[in-house]
Amino acid sequence: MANNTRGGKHRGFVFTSDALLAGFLAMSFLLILSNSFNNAEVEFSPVATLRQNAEDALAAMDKLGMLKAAFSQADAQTNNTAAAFMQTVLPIQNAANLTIETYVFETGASCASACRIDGNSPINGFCTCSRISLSTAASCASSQCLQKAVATRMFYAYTNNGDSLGRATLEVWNK
Amino acid sequence: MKRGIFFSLTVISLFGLLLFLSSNYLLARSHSGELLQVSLLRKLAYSWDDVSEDVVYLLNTSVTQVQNNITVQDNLPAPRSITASLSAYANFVHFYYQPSDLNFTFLSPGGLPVPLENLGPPLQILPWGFNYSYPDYGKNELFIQVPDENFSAMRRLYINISLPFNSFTENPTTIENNPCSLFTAFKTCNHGTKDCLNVSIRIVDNTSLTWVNTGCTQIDANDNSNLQLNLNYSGGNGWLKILIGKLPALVDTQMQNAWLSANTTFEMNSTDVHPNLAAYLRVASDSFNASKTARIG
Repeated sequence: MANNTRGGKHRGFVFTSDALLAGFLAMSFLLILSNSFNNAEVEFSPVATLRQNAEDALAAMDKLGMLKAAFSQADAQTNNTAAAFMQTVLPIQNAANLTIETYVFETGASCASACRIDGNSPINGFCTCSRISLSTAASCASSQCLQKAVATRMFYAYTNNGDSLGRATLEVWNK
Repeated sequence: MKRGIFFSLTVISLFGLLLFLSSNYLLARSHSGELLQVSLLRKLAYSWDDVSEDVVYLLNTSVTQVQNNITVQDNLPAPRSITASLSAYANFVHFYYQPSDLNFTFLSPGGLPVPLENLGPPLQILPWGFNYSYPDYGKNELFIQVPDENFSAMRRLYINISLPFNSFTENPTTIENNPCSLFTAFKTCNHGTKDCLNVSIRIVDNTSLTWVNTGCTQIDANDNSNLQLNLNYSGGNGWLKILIGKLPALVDTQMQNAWLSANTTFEMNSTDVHPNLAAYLRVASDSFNASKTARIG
């Protein structure tokens, strides 16, 4: 009888622990699921928006002829125009880093003197004539750069140097 | 007994909660997948637009459409090797641009992959199948071809030519006052004409002397009418011929020692027309089994 009473007490304790354990597991499961659920949306959407902003800004610059202008105007002028344009088209909460590189197609063995940024010899048939980089913010802190989008755009013009091609790369992140 | 019911209800509730949360999670995953697809499609369309725009520019032509008017600005013969430019561009795409997850392929009208420099003919006006083309990218001759059955889709053709390096050898009085006499063959329209071409031709030489086809603007497109203008240039003599008819060969512009800056405007009957290259560009993402294939233009 005493054993039964003692056993009954133990059984009650076991059942209570069981319920607590079940409750704990359920709560953990719920937390894990809600975390995964939130991550799926929150992590993806800002990067997609940033990428869209970057692509739209570069496409606008290309269609307005601002990128092609890099073939003919001084680097400082390209820099100023591009910086002013980015301030206009990008949302105020975005910061950006733009790199514009220009190349000329070279069939010979050596590059013209004006296009030797990456060496005297063409690389894959191209000589690098200019490379400018500008930012709308001082730097990108590591936590901000976790959500950074990059867009690239090509542009072409036939210039005095021959077939000239350019590549613009725009990185955008939230300030 | 009561405790058993309580535990059973607890287990059923927890199981229900588990099912509910799982289904929610799956829905969220599928929503996230849709967003990813939208983002990928945007990237495909963006890359397609980037390359397509450059290819038209590489051909040294400019095509604009204002309502029902399609204008092609061109320089004949080509002032440089367009084939070399296309080849350089293809190299640049391969080595400096092509994202690792995307493939760019140029396709013939039949859907076969072709090197960029082999694309052609340059321009078509759809859906009517008008061709604006050359024998090759040297552009020493210009053809405008119109299918007989679609001729009525065009209201009028405008040809404006500027000759920055040539002057007319004809008497200026003939050029200005008797322009139709320079047709070596001419067939105007009458009541029985099946396809009558309404055409305005204006040619300006480097002295600003202007030949306009006043009095010979209606030409039978099923017969031959040939205009020949003899020219001078700093190195000697040249000529420009504009041969009209017979359909489907509507206009054939030939030249020798002549350099043309030409604007050709097709005034169509409706705004539902599209100027495109007779070639396709496919941008594909193999990892996501998605692609965009469309006519360049």
